[in-house]
Amino acid sequence: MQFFLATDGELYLARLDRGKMTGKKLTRRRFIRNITAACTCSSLYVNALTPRHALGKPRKKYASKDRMEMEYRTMGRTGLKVSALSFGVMRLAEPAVLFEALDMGINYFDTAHSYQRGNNEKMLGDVLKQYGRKKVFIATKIPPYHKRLGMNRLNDQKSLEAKMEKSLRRLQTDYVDVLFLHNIKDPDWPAHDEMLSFCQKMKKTGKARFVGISFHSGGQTYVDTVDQALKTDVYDVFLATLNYKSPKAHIDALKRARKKNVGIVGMKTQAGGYEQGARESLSPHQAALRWVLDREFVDCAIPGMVNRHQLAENSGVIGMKMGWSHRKTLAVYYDGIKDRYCLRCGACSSSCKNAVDIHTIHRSLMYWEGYRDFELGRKTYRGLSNAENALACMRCSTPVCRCINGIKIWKRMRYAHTTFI
Amino acid sequence: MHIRLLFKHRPMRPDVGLGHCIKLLVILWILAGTCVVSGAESSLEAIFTGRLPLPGWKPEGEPYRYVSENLYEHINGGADYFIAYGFVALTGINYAPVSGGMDSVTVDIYDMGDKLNAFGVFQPRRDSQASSLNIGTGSFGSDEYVAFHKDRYYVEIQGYITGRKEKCVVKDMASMVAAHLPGDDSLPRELSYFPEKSRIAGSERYIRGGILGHAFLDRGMACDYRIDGKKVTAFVAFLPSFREAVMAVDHHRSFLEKSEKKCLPLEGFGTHSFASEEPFHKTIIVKQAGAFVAGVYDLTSVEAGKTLLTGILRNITL
Repeated sequence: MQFFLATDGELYLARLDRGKMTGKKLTRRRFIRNITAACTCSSLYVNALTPRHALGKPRKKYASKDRMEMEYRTMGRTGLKVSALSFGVMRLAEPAVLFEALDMGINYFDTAHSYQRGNNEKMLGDVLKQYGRKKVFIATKIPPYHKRLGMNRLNDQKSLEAKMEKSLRRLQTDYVDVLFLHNIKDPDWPAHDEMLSFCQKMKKTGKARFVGISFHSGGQTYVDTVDQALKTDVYDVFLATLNYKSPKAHIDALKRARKKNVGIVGMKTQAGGYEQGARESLSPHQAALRWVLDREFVDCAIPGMVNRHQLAENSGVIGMKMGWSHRKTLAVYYDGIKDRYCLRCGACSSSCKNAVDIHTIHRSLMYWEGYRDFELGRKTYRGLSNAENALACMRCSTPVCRCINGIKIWKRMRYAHTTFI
Repeated sequence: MHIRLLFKHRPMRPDVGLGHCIKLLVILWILAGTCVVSGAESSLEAIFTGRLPLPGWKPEGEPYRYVSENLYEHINGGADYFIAYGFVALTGINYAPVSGGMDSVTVDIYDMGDKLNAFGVFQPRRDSQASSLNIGTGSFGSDEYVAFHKDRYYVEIQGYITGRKEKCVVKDMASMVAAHLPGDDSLPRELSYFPEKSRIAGSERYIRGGILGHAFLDRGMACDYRIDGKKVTAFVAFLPSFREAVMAVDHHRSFLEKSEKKCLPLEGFGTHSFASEEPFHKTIIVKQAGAFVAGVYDLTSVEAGKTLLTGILRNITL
């Protein structure tokens, strides 16, 4: 341990060594040497406290696919060994991305009867015909209700079967591995006779190896849907919205399903996932996806991907464990956006006396900051009249608008106005 | 008083005057835009209540409206697709027969913001074998379902029809909506970049998210051609600037080189061009022109695509 000691107008460098104090006269050279060493050490120490250091070294942006080894999990009672990172095909237009995903070891592909009005199934069918149908698992979805009048009118078994036949033709296969009833909005639907007999018939005839339900409703409907479907003991897989902002009740419901050995597929895993860029050392999409994959009850996640960039980014999380630094990434990320990411709870809508359309202005900012679509953000903002846009906020000196989630609304409104006007 | 004092101390310079004029013009432009938007909404309402329904049908409830946050409640997972193509709002209505019964017709009008976006969502949903119904700018469908696009709108009309007499109702309603939607029937001008000769009709598509799956070619149009009996695809990517178009070509080249494909100069096409092998798409030729990147792939040889690429480049620069 070293320290400076001043006596009789001279400076001494004192050292405490095994209880004994020794001293050297502090010369100019010695002083500079010690100060340099001290500065170097302290700067290293200070650097260790910076967020970048605390969050780990900046990673290579995306993991190399050559080094990636796909992680496979058993999908509940189905026994299917599916890749933890699976593929939501919905928006994809380019088959080359599917081939690349197959080469990476992704083996579970999710589409639906309605996506691109069937052309999505057709594209997947074409690719898998070339690649080999038996090497992969296909999941598709059939809408249980008559479009638009959903809550009032469920499809009958005959019409569901007709849709299934159409899907199989487009997919160029005799069977799908998982057949979902698409977008369950009412917890009673999974237990409906027509649904149950359709699902059982599909399994019996071998057109679907396993059946399940997909749902992304909010609140208690989500929980009730899980519980009602579990009661039937017919459904093998649940495809459900799950992300790091999911309420505990939803997570608990999925855990209950898991206990009954139901396969769990996560969707909308990166909801609210703002692009990398705002924080250079972080990849929020990766952290959000990893968070989902780290839930023990999750078998796979199906992020929607439309290009190689997204595929590489998502595959970068494979093999990673959600360590402290990744949790920190997510926490810092959420912390970074929570003052601007609107949960659209609507609680703020009546707090402004000027009738500013806070909700729509937040949406226009989300298009820009979240989806990186400036034009859409500007267009949405400019769709508001002067009474509804944030013009009033520019003149407002005593903002009364309050957000229960801590968003500084008036700041965001002003920011939107200066950005888009 | 305060303002007058300000002006007294800081007399208006000619460039400040110009600035005020620009600000005034911007404000007028915004006001005009607002009027157009609200005008468009009211014209949709007018179609629902004034032009529709056909005799024998009545509205079932009020018109509904969805924006991007709640669109999934209406069309579930398909919502993301529309949002990616710039979806602004959906306005729709249900009709039921005056005589009662289970039949119904649903009209959904998607405001996609502009003509190109509306074309973009329409085209991939269209069955490549389906023939046009001559409704709007482009259309396809059956007795129970019609989809078409016109100007910035993409429209879907879905029927649940049991009676034989009513079989034409969906098409009739579609024609009625198309006739009264604001805007014109012309195709997006971006289609004119592609020469018509040897083009496969109906193969034109507007891609968001990555031509050939490349994020650096995020937005653009593609269509298929038949050259020497073989199907090839031509594309034009739209980049924000000349610089970004050059960067996109560089990105593309470096992607191919990382994939162990050789990139050769494209003779006769100058700088920022190359010929190579695109994974899963055979031979590709690429050339930057202004803020565009044009290319042809699925070629059997470099020479086979040069004439087509030249034609595209000529159209772009016109």
